Amino acid sequence: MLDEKRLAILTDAAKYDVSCSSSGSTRSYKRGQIGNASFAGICHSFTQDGRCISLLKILLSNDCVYDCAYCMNRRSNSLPRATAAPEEICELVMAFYRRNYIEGLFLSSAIVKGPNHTMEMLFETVRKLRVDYKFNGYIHVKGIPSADKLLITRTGALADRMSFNIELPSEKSLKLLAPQKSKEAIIEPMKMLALDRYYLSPAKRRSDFLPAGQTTQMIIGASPESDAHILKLTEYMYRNYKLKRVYYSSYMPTNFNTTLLPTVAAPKLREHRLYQADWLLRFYGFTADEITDTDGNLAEEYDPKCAWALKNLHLFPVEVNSAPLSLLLRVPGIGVRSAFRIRSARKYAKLGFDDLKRMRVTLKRAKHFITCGGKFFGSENENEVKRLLIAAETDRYTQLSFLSGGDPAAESALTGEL
Amino acid sequence: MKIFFIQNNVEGLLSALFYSFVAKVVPDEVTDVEIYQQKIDDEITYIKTDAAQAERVQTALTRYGGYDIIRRLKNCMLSCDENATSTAFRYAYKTLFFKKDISGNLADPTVAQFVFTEQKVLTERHHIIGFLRFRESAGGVIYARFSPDNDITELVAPHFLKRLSGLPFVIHDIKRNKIAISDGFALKFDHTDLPAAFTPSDDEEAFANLWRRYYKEINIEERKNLKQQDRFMPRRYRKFMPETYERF
Repeated sequence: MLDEKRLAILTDAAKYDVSCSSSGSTRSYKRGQIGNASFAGICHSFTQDGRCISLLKILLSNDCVYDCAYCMNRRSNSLPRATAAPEEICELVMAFYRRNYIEGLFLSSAIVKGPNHTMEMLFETVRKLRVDYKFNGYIHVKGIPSADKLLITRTGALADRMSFNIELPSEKSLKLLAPQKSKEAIIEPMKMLALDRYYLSPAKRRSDFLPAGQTTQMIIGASPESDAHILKLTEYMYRNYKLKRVYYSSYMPTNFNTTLLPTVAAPKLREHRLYQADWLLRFYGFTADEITDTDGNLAEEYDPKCAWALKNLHLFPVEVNSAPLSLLLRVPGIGVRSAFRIRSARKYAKLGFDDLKRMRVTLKRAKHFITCGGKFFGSENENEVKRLLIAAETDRYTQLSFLSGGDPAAESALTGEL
Repeated sequence: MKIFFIQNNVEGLLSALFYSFVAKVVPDEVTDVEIYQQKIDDEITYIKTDAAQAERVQTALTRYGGYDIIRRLKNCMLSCDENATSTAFRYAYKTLFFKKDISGNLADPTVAQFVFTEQKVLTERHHIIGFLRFRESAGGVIYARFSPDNDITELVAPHFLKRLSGLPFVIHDIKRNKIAISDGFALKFDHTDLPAAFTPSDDEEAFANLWRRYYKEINIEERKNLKQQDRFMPRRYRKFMPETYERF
């Protein structure tokens, strides 16, 4: 059994990997095996940082031969090293899974000895889990750049999802900060897996090969690329490598013995805005060019959809009773769910403002951009709209008591004047 | 106020619908016998559950309201909302009245109330499927306790029957004294008043401790965000989880 000390080391080393989703795969129950996977994914717990725990996220080893500047596990860092045997990982997964602690395994590793040796260990662990332990739950495996192609494909045949981390948004930054990794070593296997996935299950709708597809992750703020650059890269990967998700992690200084990296953490707001933009690319029919500002970055004060709408005020307001779905999706404050609700409800009767409220469509932002049966309830002044949108975003508005009086400075702080 | 008293199951509800259409009486409220506090001007009708009538109504409902309407009515009736039965009744009544599927018409208050009541039940089911924690007993049976807001044992247990195929388990709703028992291949629901006598297996505590340690280590301290944690993992569920409750 894996002892607590090694578990702690291997978990601590894995915690900066963002991806922990268990969605996208439908593994149905198989006789004699244990486990299944639900398409929507299931979160099993939430840590104090507000992130979900769905999978047992762990490294096979943190004993790395590489020396990437941004990484905690780099060779030149002096920290306790540990390695787990495939057997130990399997045992832990089965015990946790039975108790419903986890939805499956997220297996990654530092580069031990070399890429091929590491990939072989990852493959062996997954094989053991699937074949010897008859585990039919969710498995996400990190791909090791520069590992043998056959090893990667064979791992892909057993896993639900694989991911090669692109790490940094440009080749230049990658060369600078992760000298042992190359763009080709990361991109090529992604391409290959996309093709494998296509050819190994051509006739069926649901793929048996990597049913949950591929994802990737990059660090934001460690290198000078703009939001526009990042979003274009993201869009390119969604289109060409058929990725399911791109994860962003804002840079946090963990290594202080290097001059290549900034010493302060990147703002979390930037990461948040990038995710919002990412959603717009995947679910709302936007393109990267539409949502980035001319200076190449996303607006900080409001979300990217609001920013886009304010730049394109000539398209608004839209009439909820007749606007096509694609345009409803572009209204700030109306999400995918609300848009579909509106589309189905308006088949029965003409919708008014109160009807939207009853349907739980959030109108705080949307009311400035829609009409209901020709009636408009928002503000017509552009500056006023901007002010209200910022207020809605920061949620600084607090109902002040009539009798509160007191310190005027405190009050203006409450209303957001200060 | 016209009140229908029914047996609190879907057959009871369907019989009430049958009666309502035959006798041309529309109730203001439909409720089940155990919980109702009678008021002075209430006009009460006791509805007898009748399997044949229920089946006729079921056929009609399925024809007009879609293939899953019975399941949805059941889900709604599992809600802890005290008006849940009335809500389900009104929705079914409206479906039969208009003879069409009204489920998409969220602008209608009857439909909205029904859909959101059902959604609440299903949301809790989804939560519990993730947050339920089993402990392994010395005999090999795994056992989980929980105390959900809505009566969702019957919605939760089938998920685990599929997932843990072959493993015997017991799920115990300690609020309603309801249990779901599985021998690994079939499910049985029952009531129990006895507290479960539970002897953990030898390595149960060891694995729970490993899990606690894992939970601690995977957290990124610099990004602490308790508000978000509370939003995603309501505190009322945490007393049944080893990572958040030491005496689990």
